[in-house]
Amino acid sequence: MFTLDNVTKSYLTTSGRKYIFRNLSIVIPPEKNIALIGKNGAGKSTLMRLLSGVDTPDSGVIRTDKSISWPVGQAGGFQGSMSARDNVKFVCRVYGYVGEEMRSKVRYVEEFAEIGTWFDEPIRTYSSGMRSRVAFGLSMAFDFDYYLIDEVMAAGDNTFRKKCDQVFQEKLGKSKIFLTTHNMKEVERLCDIVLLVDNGKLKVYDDVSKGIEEYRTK
Amino acid sequence: MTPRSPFQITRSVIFALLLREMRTRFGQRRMGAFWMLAEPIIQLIVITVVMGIIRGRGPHQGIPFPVFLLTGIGPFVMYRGVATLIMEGLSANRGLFAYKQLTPMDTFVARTIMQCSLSSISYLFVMAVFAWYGFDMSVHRPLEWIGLLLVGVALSFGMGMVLAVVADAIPEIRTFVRFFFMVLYFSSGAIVPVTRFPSYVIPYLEWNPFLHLTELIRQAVFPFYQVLDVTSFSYVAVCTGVLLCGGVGLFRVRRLKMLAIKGIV
Repeated sequence: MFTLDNVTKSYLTTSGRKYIFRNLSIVIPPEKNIALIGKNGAGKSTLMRLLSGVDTPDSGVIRTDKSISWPVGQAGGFQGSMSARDNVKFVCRVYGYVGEEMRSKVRYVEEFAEIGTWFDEPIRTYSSGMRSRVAFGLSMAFDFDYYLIDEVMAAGDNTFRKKCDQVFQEKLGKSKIFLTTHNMKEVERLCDIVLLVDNGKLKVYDDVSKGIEEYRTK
Repeated sequence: MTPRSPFQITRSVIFALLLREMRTRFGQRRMGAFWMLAEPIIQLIVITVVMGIIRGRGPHQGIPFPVFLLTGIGPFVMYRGVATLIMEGLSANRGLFAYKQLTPMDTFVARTIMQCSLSSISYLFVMAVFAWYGFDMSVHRPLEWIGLLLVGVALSFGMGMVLAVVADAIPEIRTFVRFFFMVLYFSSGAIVPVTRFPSYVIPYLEWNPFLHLTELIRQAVFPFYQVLDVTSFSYVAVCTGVLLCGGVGLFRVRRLKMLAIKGIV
């Protein structure tokens, strides 16, 4: 469950302060796969950053008792001059896994990514497909209550995509997802409730098809 | 995920960052670990020997000139390293803030620990080389010496944080920071004893906290060292306090802006 209490978030830009959310209060029900939809620039990514704790609101409080992942498949935190192995180890250490736990996670990512000996080469030498293989494997190596997905992570070739789908279905047994997308088929397939972001307001739709309809009529 | 206490999180994050910083430096060239240590060591030896022996300076207050220089240059190089690494810490690690456990302060602390360890190892190595050559490298009051070195680290940490905030607001300032440190370097008495400057500049040099610090450090190392009569520990302490509080305060005020938008996720 997420509780947003009087949350205000703004960014200072060159043309003045822009408010994304003003005094937003909402309760997002627990144990649901959540879809976050809205037009470009409506504030979906900002909300996601706030919920995941990467960004902090100007004022107000966001509460949750669940663990939330970093955006699945994001490769921004990789250090180009280090190998994939060292990068994976770094994330394990940040999350407090050391020793045997860390080694098993590294093994998992290595086997998942299937890039062979490239795993020990610096990441800057990778192709973008290889990089996203490592990034996706890294996200899947950890168990979170919620996985943040910013646009569906279709990357790589066909067999890899199938593998991702399969692992992801397994994850869905235990965990929930938080999906931001413009693809309504994905929303219907994966999510239980819809959060519609519009004009700094947030509406919860328990009925997915109703939420999608509302989004289309906008 | 098992819940961890804030202290456990901070500790594991700093440890992870430390290894990462080391790895990044190692990894960039062949025998990276060797060069990472060799560079500051060679730098220290070359400066002290060139300045001390080749220029033919006699002992200063009865202290062999290379030893005299080392006690000033070694710490100063460390302080400069700490301050500049902290200044660059935010932009160098920006991609990492997508992991919410990681805060800018963690990167500052990790970089400080790394720089201090590297500098200490190279300093000890040069000390050993000098002792082997035949200089008397004993430290007269070791506890006071270590205490002063730590105060200097706190001072440069504060300075680094202030610079980090300023450099984020006005990126062009980075160019001047190098010159700023050069001025601090030459006026700190680390490389040229301040007594060799004309007496009318001394009142201006007094503003440099590193001058006071260098003098105090030398007083702790050499038994009969005569410090400049303007030297004051309280000035160093006040500077440290002001810079630390100012740095942390400025950072607190500006932190949202410093982390905002520039593409964290």
